Amino acid sequence: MSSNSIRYAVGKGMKNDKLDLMVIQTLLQLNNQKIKATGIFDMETQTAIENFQKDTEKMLAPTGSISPESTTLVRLEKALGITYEIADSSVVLGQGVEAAIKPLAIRFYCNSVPHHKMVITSGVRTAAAQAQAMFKKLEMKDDIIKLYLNKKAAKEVVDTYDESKKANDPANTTVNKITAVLEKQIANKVYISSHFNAKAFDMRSRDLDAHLVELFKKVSDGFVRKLIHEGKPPHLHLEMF
Amino acid sequence: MNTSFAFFPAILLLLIACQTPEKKSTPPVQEKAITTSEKDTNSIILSADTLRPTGSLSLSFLGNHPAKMAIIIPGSDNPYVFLQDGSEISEIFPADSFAKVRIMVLKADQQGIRFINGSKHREAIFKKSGYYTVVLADNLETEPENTNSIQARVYFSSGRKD
Repeated sequence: MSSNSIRYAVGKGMKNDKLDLMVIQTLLQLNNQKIKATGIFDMETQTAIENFQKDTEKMLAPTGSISPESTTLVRLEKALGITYEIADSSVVLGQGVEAAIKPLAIRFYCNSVPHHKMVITSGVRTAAAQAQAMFKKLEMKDDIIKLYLNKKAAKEVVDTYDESKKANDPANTTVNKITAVLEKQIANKVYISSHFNAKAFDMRSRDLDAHLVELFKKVSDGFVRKLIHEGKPPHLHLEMF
Repeated sequence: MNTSFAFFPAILLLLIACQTPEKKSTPPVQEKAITTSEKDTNSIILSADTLRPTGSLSLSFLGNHPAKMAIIIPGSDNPYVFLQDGSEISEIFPADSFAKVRIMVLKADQQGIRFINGSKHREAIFKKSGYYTVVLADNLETEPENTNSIQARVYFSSGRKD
């Protein structure tokens, strides 16, 4: 699991992973170092790292290498603009998810040519919000058992709705009863929506070609626990560690 | 907003904002009058089961409808054609006025936005014969069970062997 925009150290005698090098070389470019982003470690890269450490970090003895936890990486990243966007104000991200998205977004941005920003289209969903949505569908006589993959969990909701209707409960009471059912399911690790998981979010994929989707899969290795490329509708579903 | 998509003159558009379906003006040729006994799928009422190449289809929304709209086309790995998706895609209405629309008429030559291998293409929606699903959702970039959505289905008959 990684929490920095590079996974391994870059520099003389280091691992020099291609994806990490693309990040460092792009960041060096943004910090006015005359260097090409090739993903290959060479003398040009070595000199650019040393120059940055000497000129910007005021290091007396530049190390010539950058580790994932180094202050050099933090300073280099300061030159970056926006690397990800939230599609609209309705998107709520789980605790700590935005901080986890940031290094992944930097990685994707630096490795894509032209640079591509992640767009987050959906975040975490509460049991109350889900209950409200399911109530609405049930009121419209939607077959929600057909809609949900977990038929048993969906049936529990339908049964609760039916019983509440029979008891002539007002709408908000029915929604509260459905919320209670969903909360109980969550407590038992039964997730009728994959977005009950606070670490889950969706990302725009419709503007990514096959090459960019593959690249995203590569750069997210070690950063996400689960990555699904959904087609209906098109999006990427991610779950962070 | 991409203004080139804001109003497309070739698109027949009948916008009756904030009115009840009963007060609808004379429907176009080949279109049946909307009554509540017709195809009421969730809260979209379609004026007909079948759409033909020279025809049109009325969609009547009951109550407030979700903000975004797409049509799922048959027989494609990439089946979503977007008609309305916030400020990025406003193919049929300016984004902010779409919420007020109660009745809309789609002509059989309606165009929409389809993303093919990451690129945006504007193209005719109804081409091959088959069932087309009109989807309105608050979010068209997440799992359907994760958003408020309504949908209705219509058969398009191209009149030729597809």
